[in-house]
Amino acid sequence: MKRTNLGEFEEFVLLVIGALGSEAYGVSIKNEIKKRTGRNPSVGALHSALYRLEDKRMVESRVGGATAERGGRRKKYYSLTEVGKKALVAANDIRSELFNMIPGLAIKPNK
Amino acid sequence: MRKKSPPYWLDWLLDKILSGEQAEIIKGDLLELYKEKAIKHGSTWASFNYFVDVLSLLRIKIFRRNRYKTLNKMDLFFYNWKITWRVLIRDRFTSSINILGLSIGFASVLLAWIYIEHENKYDKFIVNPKTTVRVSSHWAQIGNYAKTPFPVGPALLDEYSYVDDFFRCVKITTDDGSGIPVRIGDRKFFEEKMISVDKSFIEIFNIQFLWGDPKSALTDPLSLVLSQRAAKKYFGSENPIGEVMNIEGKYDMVVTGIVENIHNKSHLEFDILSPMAFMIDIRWKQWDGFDHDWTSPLVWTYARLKDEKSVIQLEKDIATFVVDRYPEGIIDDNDNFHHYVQRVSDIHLKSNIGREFKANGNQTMLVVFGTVSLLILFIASINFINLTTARSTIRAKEVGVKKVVGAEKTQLIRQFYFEVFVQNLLAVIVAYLVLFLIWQPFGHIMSVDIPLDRSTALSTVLISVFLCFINTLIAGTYPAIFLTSFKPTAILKGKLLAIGRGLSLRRILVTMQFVAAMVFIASALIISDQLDFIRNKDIGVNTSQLVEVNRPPRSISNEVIIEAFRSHPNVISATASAGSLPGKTSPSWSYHPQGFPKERQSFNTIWTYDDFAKVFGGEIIAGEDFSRKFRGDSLNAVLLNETLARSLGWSPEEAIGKSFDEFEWRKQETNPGRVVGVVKDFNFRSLHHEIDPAVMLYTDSDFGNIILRLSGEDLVGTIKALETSWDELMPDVPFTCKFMDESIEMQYQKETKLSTSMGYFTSLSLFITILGLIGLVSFMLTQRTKEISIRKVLGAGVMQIIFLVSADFVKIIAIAFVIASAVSYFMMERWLQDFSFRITVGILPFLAAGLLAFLIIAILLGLKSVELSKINPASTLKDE
Repeated sequence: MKRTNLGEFEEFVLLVIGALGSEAYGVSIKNEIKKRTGRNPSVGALHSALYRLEDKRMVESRVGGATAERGGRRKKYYSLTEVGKKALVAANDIRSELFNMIPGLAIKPNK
Repeated sequence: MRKKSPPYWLDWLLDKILSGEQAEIIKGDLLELYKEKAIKHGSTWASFNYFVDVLSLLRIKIFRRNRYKTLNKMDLFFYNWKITWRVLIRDRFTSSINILGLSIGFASVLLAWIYIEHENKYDKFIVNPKTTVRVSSHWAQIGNYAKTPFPVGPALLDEYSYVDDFFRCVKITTDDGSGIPVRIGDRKFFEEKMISVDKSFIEIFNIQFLWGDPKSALTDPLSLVLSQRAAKKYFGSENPIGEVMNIEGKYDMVVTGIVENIHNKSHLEFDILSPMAFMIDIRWKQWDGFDHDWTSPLVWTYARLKDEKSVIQLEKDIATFVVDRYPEGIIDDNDNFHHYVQRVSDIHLKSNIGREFKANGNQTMLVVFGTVSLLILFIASINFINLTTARSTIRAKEVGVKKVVGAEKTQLIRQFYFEVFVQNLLAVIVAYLVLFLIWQPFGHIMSVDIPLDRSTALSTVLISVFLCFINTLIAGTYPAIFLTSFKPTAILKGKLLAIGRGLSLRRILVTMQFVAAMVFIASALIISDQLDFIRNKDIGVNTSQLVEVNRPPRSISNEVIIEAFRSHPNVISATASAGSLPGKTSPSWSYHPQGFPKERQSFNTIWTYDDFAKVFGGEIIAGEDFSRKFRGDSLNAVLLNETLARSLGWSPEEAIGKSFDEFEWRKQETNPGRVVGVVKDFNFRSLHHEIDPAVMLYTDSDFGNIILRLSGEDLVGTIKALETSWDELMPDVPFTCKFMDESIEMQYQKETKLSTSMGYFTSLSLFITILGLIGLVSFMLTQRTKEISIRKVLGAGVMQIIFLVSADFVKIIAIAFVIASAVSYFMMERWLQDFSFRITVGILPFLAAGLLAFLIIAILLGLKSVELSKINPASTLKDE
């Protein structure tokens, strides 16, 4: 299997971007992560993760949507690319595969 | 009221971290978050969060540069190289002046660095140089003395628990370096550096054995350990272990070891080591009581202490050592006589007291060296700044075009720094060549032998890299900022405002250069004046044609040797002498003059023989010279110098016949003496010192060197004849003699070194200054071509134009003259204070310096006038 090199935090960010759909930009991603996981990532940590994901071609971005709250500054919206989706699927597969191998923990389908 | 926006300073900080589109987006995010927080939790909490987030963005700054603006770094680097190279080639005249000047500056700084480092390394090879101390003595009358009485060492070990070990050291050769005869088989030598030490010396001083066993080498009283240098001198490449060397014609001693040289890294040097037992059991055997003589400073005593704290403790404790430990009744007064300690690591550069082991280094000289070499580099850097800014008109267009194309100021500055750095780097490389050229002559002038080991090489390379960077900053900053500050619109329109702006600073820099050069010239002249004065001063005795023949003490009597020498027609007169002679150290002896309380008084002493005044050319102003008739007299005959007679309140005539008892330290009793004559004052010490009271003591024993006055005819033949007579008398001892002039000259070694090195430094600084001036003058004239052409058209002659151009320089020279005269006057006055006999500083040296500077400018401009006369207004003005 091809290595995807997805860090745990990166994986969260990817998942959140996917979940938020067309509304994924800095603040909304940050708030969603906080809501779902209880962690409060710093802006710096979040943006550097976003840059890394962009470098790995897992997300793509578009600029737009200036609002008054932002002092007239534009937002950068992120969305998943095919690579990003594949990486998420792969990560999920590995995880569940391994999870199922843990005796006594895995939920076995009722026979 | 609730604040609507985050603190201003945080925004400012944010701007420093981010830029471009990235900034817009992240700032937007932050502001949104801030407002959200501010509504929920208040503005303080929001600001705090904002602050933490701003800090968290630093990781983006550090790990992720703005991706939208990066150029290829390597491309830029090669581009810089290319431009730099083209500039160097195009301005080859200026750049070679720059590089040559800088390389001389770098070479002098490197040389000074190596020298200073070498001098500071002295005695650092000892395992614990900071806890190893020398015990010295202080007498109220004589001052400080490096030597101590013989029993002090063991007493220290016994008295203080923190004294780890000690050793004593004594020169077998006499302090004036006359040497002792050494014979190997039938080969005869003179050894000047033989010492005796306690065995513990080997361990305390960390002496490394190349051959032989460090533990047992100095056990037998008749064993010898040679330095590498001595082994080479006596035995060449043969293995000398087990060889027999005959010392002083009396003792057959066996070589038991060879050790590393320490002569150029320690204040204590030797070529032959013998055990202290050799002195105790053999050489001093007949001398009763040296080992319980608590008053004669006989040996150097060193002690190794347990730790650094003990040094401070010993410094305190030893002040009362004399009272605490000395046998009762010898010394009961701490003020009159006490001991003190000096750290071994401090001796070479900081100690200059009586009976030093050898002439130590000189910290002042190091400071002078360091400062002067930095000044030379500074002069070269000024050249650099001047010539670079002077060429700004040419570079201005380049800067203008680059700015128009979109270059930022920081990029241009970086480009200029790069150019400066490359020139500095080339200069450092050339500096190494210069260094290799001046290495030998320098070592010769300073009489130092600096071993080029790995650590010196490493530190030199590091220093040159450091210099390269620092000088890039110093010499590059102003030109870089100056050149990049042009407004492109102005430049490209052809308005060149640059010259006016650069001129004032350039004037100041040129003035500083002239000040430095003139200070060098004036100081060098004054120093050499003082040296001339010293050499030509009438010192009261005539030392030319005086020859001193070394002879081992306690051998054949003076009478026999002098008899043999007198038979040569070219020997006019002869005597024997030791002690405070011109060119020698001045030992003091104690006396009791008639009519004074029974306290011992110390005076400089000369032990001498028949015809003393006659041989030396001194003048007897009362009484008579020493002669045969005083021989065997029960009363010691004594001559006083005028100063002594005066200080005792005696007129020369009154002094004759007065009793003058000599105090015999070793026996603690006096030998009766009487004054037979008074000698006119003469400088028995160097001219640094006043003429102190002095006593000449008649000695009819076999003591002192033989002093001959020669006629001056057929010197070579005479010396040869003297050698033949000597060989008949003492076949075991080689004949060595020295002209007394040379010994006197040796007293001014420090000054001679200073004078010679100042001469070189002056020439170097002048050379660099002239280089810079040539560049500057030719540039100034090119700049003013049009002005000069117009003047020519209007009928001005070449001379008038020359005067016009030189007016600037004359002003600069005048200002520099005033500053330089003041600076060098104060410096030289301080230097001259070292001398009791000195010149008064006149105006001449300063005038000479000013005149020289003026001449240089005049010659430069004169040469240029040829070029000026060739200017054809028709061709230079055709564009206007």
